Amino acid sequence: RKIIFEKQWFYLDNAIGHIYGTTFEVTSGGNLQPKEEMEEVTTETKEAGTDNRNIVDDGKSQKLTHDDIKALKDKGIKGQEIVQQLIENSTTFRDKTEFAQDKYIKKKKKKYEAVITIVKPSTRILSTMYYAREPGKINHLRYDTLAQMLTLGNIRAGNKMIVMETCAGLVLGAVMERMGGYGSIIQMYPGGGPVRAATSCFGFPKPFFDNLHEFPLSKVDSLLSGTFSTETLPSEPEDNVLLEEESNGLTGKKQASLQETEEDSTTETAMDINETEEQETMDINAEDVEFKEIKEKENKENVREKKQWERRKKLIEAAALLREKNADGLIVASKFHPTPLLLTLLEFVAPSRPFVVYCLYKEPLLECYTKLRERGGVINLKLSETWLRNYQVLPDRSHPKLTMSGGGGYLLSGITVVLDKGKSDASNLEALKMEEPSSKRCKIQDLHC
Amino acid sequence: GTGSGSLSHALIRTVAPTGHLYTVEFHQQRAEKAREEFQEHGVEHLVTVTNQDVCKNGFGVSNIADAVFLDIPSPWEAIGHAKSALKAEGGRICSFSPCIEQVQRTCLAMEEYGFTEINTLEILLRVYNVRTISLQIPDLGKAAEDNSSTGFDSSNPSNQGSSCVNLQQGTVQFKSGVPLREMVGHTGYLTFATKS
Repeated sequence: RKIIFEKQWFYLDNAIGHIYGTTFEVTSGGNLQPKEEMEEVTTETKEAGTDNRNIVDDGKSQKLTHDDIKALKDKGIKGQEIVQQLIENSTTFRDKTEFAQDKYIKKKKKKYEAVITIVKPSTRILSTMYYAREPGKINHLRYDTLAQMLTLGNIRAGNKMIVMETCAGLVLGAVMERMGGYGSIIQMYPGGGPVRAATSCFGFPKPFFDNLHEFPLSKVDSLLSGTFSTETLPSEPEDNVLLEEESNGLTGKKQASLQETEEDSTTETAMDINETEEQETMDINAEDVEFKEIKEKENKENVREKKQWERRKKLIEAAALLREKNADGLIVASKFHPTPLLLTLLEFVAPSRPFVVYCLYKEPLLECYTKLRERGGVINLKLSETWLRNYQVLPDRSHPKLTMSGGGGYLLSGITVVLDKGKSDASNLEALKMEEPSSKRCKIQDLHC
Repeated sequence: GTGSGSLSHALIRTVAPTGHLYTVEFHQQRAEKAREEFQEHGVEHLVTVTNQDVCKNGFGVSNIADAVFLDIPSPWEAIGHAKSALKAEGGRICSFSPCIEQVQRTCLAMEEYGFTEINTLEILLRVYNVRTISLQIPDLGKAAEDNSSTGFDSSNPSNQGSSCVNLQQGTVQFKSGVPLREMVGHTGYLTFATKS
């Protein structure tokens, strides 16, 4: 299987059989080869300058041209050797300071040494990658914010969690990882079905999915008002997905057309292909072929009905779980306005349980906070964000690397309490009145409360 | 560096029910107090408290840890022990230190012991108080009935918590997430690395 990553093309075949963490080199043929543990070039006191006052950046200090370098690469020369060549052919290298030389070498290595390490997926790795490469898909949820959610939400094995996210399934995966397969999760989803693209990257064992349920948001109101029924299921792209899986033996083109056309006609196409193939390989008479056609159409119907019945069954199961109104926690991280989500989904959470809502923006959470205060049934409301700063730590060269503060999103968290509808009005008016913070209320040391 | 056991409780919560925490505390009384608390909280089967100096004698286990966390004054002295406590491949280490000099020594030690992906960062939690704020509109000498001069749309009762003008009192109200007057500016640097 050929993949591209960071402008490198290579085949993954040779990776099979090696343990996670193995480092490979990409050969000129695009194959992976385990990298030998080589002694790093010892930094003996090489010739170096003291500062850059005499170094002129005229773009001419490197004597090797693009073509020269390409020729070296085509010859199959290893990346290390290319870097060495670049150093030797640089007129300014020995005038650079040691630090500048280090930086130069590091930069060239990154460009020319094609070294790949294959790592075991985890929340840490996936959340960092998504944030760096596809932040839009995860509502710009920064990985430290996600970490806060897991702690504030007290996510752990054995919980019954309600998760509502539009982060490609990354948040769901993080929750599943923490729960280790114990407990249960009901994922609420908008539209036709839950997105779990990121979830599948975690590589969870199958049993983890046994207690993962899903429930459409569009049915929440009916569930709360007691009018829930399975008669009108949300429009089912899921069925299209199932059909895709069935037809995996087909060519890529067919899969594309399956996505585009209507459900019925796609099953027709799939079956047509199967039928044609069978006709070619068997010499049977026309009658048998007709009989087979009828039989396969029946089978197709049965399969589809069976799948629909299973979906209904799962939906009823999920509804029953929600109706118990005893979830151990609620996590919300979506592109939708948080207030309506919180106000409804909290109904399914038991009292004395944590909930966490993520929002890229602060203002919707201000409103959410206010509405929750009016509703009552929550305490310890906290609106927060985490400020993250990376550092470069090198001898004599330590400094903050990059400020990412203010880019990670906001969290509103709290704990549910019994909603006493009789008392709520009076006590909440009291809470609303207490707008001014008393300066002695929360000292620095008590901030951890 | 068990200390109060606060982090230990969080870790136990995370690895339960099938995981285990080995925690080392060199102060005898603190170690004992921690043991008591774990017992009181019904989690003693998930944790082992060892009373020794991790820098001299290590963690008491080898080649099994998925992760090691250090919260001690001289973490660079424990890096070697941390490495042997960690599983053969892929284990993670984290060291927490308030001073950058400690961080520098620790990073150097990590490098010397062959750790990879060494990364230092700091995280601060910023809390906001949700407040309804009223700001006065200054008297610029224009007539109050002349709505257009204030620049505000006085009929703006939107539910989204945007500003609400009270011309009689001459104030604008809005909801704000106000940072605390004083916030924690620094606790410590976190350095992560992988044993590879």
